[in-house]
Amino acid sequence: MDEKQENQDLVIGSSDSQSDSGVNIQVKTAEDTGSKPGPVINDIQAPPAPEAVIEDDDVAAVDSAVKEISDDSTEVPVEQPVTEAPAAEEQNRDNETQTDLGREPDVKEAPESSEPEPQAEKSSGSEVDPFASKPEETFATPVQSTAPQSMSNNEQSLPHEHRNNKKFAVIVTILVALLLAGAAVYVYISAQGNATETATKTTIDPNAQKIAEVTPATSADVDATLTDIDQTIKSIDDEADLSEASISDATLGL
Amino acid sequence: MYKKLLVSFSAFLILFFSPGFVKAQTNDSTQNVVTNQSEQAQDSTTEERKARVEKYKLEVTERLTNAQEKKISDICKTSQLKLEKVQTSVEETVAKRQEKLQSIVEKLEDLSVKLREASVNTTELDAVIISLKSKTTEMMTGFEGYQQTLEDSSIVDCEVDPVGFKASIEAARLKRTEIKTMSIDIKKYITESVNTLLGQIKASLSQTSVGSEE
Repeated sequence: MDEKQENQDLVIGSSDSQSDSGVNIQVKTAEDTGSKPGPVINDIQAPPAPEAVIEDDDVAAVDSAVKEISDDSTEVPVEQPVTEAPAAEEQNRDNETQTDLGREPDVKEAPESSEPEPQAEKSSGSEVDPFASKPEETFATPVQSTAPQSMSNNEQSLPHEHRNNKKFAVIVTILVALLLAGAAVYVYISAQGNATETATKTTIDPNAQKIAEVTPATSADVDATLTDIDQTIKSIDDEADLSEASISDATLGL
Repeated sequence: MYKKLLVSFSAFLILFFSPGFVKAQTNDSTQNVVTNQSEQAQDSTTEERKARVEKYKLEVTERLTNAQEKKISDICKTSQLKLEKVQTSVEETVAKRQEKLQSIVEKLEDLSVKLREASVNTTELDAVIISLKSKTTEMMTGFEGYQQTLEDSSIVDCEVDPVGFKASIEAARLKRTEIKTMSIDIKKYITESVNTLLGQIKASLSQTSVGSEE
């Protein structure tokens, strides 16, 4: 029993020492379900007066915290999906504890109640440690759930960062690829331009070589030119190339 | 991992195919532009051809009778095929004639350069070369006109417009006569003026060479 009281004290102390958020969530779930933990527990076993005062304080703090949370509309949608799983776990645990509480009342009230001591002793004989630890877990899980909430928020934000990084990397890669492709096209076109320029240069160069290789004319050069011109003139046959018969009426059949 | 592979593969595809794609797009756009230009040119050519045929009609002195028009309408398609063959042969003639005249001009220019190197006055030879170039250009223009009239006569709708067809043939005959006259003039000019001038230059070169030997 001393150990239980110490545990209870620790539990109460932990509930008091805990931040409002941890307690708030538990009370919120209780309010949402419509089951008031105090009265339910009272149905089983009447709670002591001082603890009711403590609950009122908690409820007041909870109400203020709930108002703050409800006022802060941006945080609520983010926390809802995260708290669902712990809430379900808590419900399961609450069910378990309620079923267990059916055998044994709340740990807080155990030392002050005199009648259920044998039941508590019966139950504590085999399940003292689980009951001592479970209420701690019931109070501690919200605290622990807040830490995972913050962690989960960070984790939710971190994957987004990773996704953004991936998207950014993809965009940068595509841009770089496009730039490289544009550069390749530019180089290809400029290379073609250079090729044409070099071709024109090579066509110009022979003329320059001719000019450079000029030798003074001799009478033989003049004779050679005369002979070539005569041959060329003789090769021109106007009668064959410009025959009147080619487009005459007789040829055309007109 | 798959995303990285996908990104790498897409980047490779973009890098590898985009130049060809850009070039293909450029070629397509160029082809479209060329096609549009050719269509516009065809339209304008058709209009110009009609105008030319009307001009040929005005230049014709002899009028066709109805029987002649009917006869031409009946057999003109065969005549147009023959005119196309003549047009093809004239194209070859023009190319050969231009090559021969161009070779004469180049030989004279080479000689002029060598004569200048030999300190011979080439003023008259340069004038002859310029005159020969002008005559050659004139004759080539005449050949273009001759080819144009042959094309008009082979393309005009002779069954509908036999008068225009006949007038086109007459215009082609006139052009052929003009070209023949030009060609004779060029040959005469070369054999008389150019050969005479080259003889004088040869004589002067012989005198200078004898003087230098003495």
